[in-house]
Amino acid sequence: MSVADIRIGRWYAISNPYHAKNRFADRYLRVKIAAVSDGYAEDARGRRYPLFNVIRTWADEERRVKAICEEAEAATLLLGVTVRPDTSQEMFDLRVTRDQLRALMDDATTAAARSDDALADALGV
Amino acid sequence: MDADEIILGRYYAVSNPRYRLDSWAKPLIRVKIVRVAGREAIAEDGIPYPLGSVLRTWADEDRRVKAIRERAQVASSLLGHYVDYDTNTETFNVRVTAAQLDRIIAEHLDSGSEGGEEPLSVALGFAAGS
Repeated sequence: MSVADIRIGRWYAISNPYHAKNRFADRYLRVKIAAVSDGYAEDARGRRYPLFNVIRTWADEERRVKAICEEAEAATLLLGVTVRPDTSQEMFDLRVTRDQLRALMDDATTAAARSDDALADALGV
Repeated sequence: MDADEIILGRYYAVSNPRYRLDSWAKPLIRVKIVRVAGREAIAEDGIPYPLGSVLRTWADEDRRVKAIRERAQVASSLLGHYVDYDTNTETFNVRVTAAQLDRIIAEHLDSGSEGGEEPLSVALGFAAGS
């Protein structure tokens, strides 16, 4: 986020640097920003976070998580199988039939072919 | 299976009568059939099983399970994450994006939610389950 977007005294979702190293660490930290200076946001205890790690307000983060969970709940009701949300990856885990799996595999193959074509174009081959 | 399809002395996949009562019981058991009497197949230990619960030869059952496992392995490679599988229900545990989930829901609703997919045993060309 840019300096202009940040309002002092509000809670923000900030990327947790430990998330990449430890999968049990939360992806976002809930931080109340007390000051902004030199490209860093600072909390009341003086801890500094790069501004590009300040992702969104915590209220927006809660809305994002709620929307994903609601989508999983609706899918569970519609499909009749449990759909588990992964809010940090914005993905859903569910059981699918062979036909549904085949369609997903076709998707992946098409995407890979498209990516190969794009690479070939970029390389001029 | 019909009585004339059964070859005595061979192993068959038979629906386990305890499966409905005990969630830990296997849905299919491996049984060597030594005799057919009326509408019952008699196992080597003397236990009778209704012919309707004899689903396929154990070799076919092995092929069915292998086909499901191989499909999950291929899917794991293609999709880039581990795809778990359930040989009983012939389903796969996958991770999808919101767009893919929307499409699965749309197709599910279009198909009338009954599925209609034939069992893998039929797709592989051997006897369907009763």
